[in-house]
Amino acid sequence: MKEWTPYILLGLLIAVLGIFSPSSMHISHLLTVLAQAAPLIIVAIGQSFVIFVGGIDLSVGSVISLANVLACSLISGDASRTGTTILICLAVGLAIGTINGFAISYGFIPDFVMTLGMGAVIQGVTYIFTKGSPVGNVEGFLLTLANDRFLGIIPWSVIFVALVFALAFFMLNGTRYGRKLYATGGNATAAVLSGINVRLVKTIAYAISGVLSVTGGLLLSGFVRVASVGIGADYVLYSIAAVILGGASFAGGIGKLQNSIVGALTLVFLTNLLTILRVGQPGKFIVQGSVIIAIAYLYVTMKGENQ
Amino acid sequence: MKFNSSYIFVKRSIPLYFILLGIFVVASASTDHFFTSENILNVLVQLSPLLVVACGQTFVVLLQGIDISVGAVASLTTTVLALGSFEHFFGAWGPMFLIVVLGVAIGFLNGLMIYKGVTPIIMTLGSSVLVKGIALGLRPVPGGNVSFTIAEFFCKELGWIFSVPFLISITWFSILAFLLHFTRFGKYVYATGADRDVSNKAGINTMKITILAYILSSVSGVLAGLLLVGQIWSGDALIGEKLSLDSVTAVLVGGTTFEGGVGGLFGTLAGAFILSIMSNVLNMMNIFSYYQYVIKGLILIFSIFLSLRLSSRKEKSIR
Repeated sequence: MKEWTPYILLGLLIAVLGIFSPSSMHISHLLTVLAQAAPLIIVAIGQSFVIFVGGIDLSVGSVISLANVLACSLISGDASRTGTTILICLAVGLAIGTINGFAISYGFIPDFVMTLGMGAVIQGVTYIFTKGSPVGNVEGFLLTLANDRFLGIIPWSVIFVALVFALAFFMLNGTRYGRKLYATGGNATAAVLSGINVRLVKTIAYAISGVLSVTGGLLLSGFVRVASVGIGADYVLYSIAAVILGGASFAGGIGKLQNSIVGALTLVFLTNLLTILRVGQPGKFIVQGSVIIAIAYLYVTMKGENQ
Repeated sequence: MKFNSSYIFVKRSIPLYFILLGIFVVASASTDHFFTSENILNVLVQLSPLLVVACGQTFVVLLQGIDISVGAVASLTTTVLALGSFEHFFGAWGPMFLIVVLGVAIGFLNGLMIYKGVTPIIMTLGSSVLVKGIALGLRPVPGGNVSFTIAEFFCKELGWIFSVPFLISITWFSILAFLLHFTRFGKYVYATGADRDVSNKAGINTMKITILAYILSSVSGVLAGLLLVGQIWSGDALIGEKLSLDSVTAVLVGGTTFEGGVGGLFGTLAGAFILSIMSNVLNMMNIFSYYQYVIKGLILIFSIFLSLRLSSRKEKSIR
């Protein structure tokens, strides 16, 4: 039952959406929704690595915002600077993630304190960097990636997400690193005793989350085109919620990447449904909060039954 | 063994008071304006919501938990008080009754779910979004009028460095410190935080303890919201947001750790004072508020790092 819960939830939601708005079931509309979900899915993949290894990353929101203002001000309308900019942004994300992971696994700082603190620091850096009024806009590749479609049908962002997913899926399920990650998340002491470099495994997971947050932020910049402080703020909650909706355990060691994607899609369709029902932002917050609590509780009770 | 007498937890926080004294001396020496009665009055007024929330947060952190929703609860309080129409039916203090009931309900929900096994950070993140939604529903944009009686009461200055908000926060601190350090409930909080299973077997109703701790935290959020009303005289659905992070920082600076059952309110008091004075000094030295995010984040990280270095329980931290 637990295996299928994320899929049942998503199926029910899509069914309800279909009843209220049959037109939104059109394939091209579904692809548009999928394209808009792309940044969230990418960030949720990063968050999944961290949660599977038994941690949490609360800095993703600030990292996304930083990537957005950095990309916009570096490119600032000149498409030829895109390549260097992307590399710089990815390096920044890698550095932030590595610092998080390093402090958590080698400095023993609790994961949520470290990433909460890091989030505050990066938020401050973003404000200092932009002096409160961000400038610039993205051009070229990022715009194409976010807005154009392959053969005019499949959005490039969907293809891009599929590639990121395939790579991450392979890392988790087809490499030794993936096995070590699940082992570390399941029981760190046992992993240490069986010769796994637990600290390195955790550090890499946070580094991946940092890089993927930046990637999500860059893709998001392609959608919104301009710089905007605080654009990533909601992604902390959404990325964690996506992984929870996918049924991952916060104790670590349990969780499937494909389920996190299903969780992210559930969130996106839920938001879509609320928009179609003309629920305002306050109502959306209320529903999202309630759903997160209810689902988290649902999985906790299911876990109890299995034991 | 962490089931010690309360004296230990006072002793543990003594170094912090020396740090506080040091900051105080440096602040007085470096700016002329710091050591004046108006400014101290001001610092204490600014401190009061943070101190109140941090006191409640201490109980939760002692239980190896965290309450991210307090900021949203404080914001909700300001919006409920600014409802206006409510007063016609229940008088000026009517909304206060409503918001305290809401606060208890939110704390109860948090505590119950967390006891049932939902991760604290997920639960309180969820409830904070839920509460933020309600607050934004009541007041999409900042504004509205708070009853004059209430607002005036919560910002009254009493001469020299004393003010009603500061006295309220100190009273709240005293009540909670009494609860934590001198009653059986307090001992049970420490025991439950240190090891829930063992406490259960020892006959402690850990469910009750967990729920009560989260209720205390939520009610602290409500009280902080009332103090914020005294500062802004209106409702603002986002005003309290930074209290969540700041209160956790104050608790951690105060030496309470997430290992559970270690720390106490006297440390939190020092932690809240240190944060407020630093923020005041940074303002007076004209350091742009953007830098304060960076500084606060770094203080949060380094304080926990230091307290871990200082504690002798390093070997446990293989996770």
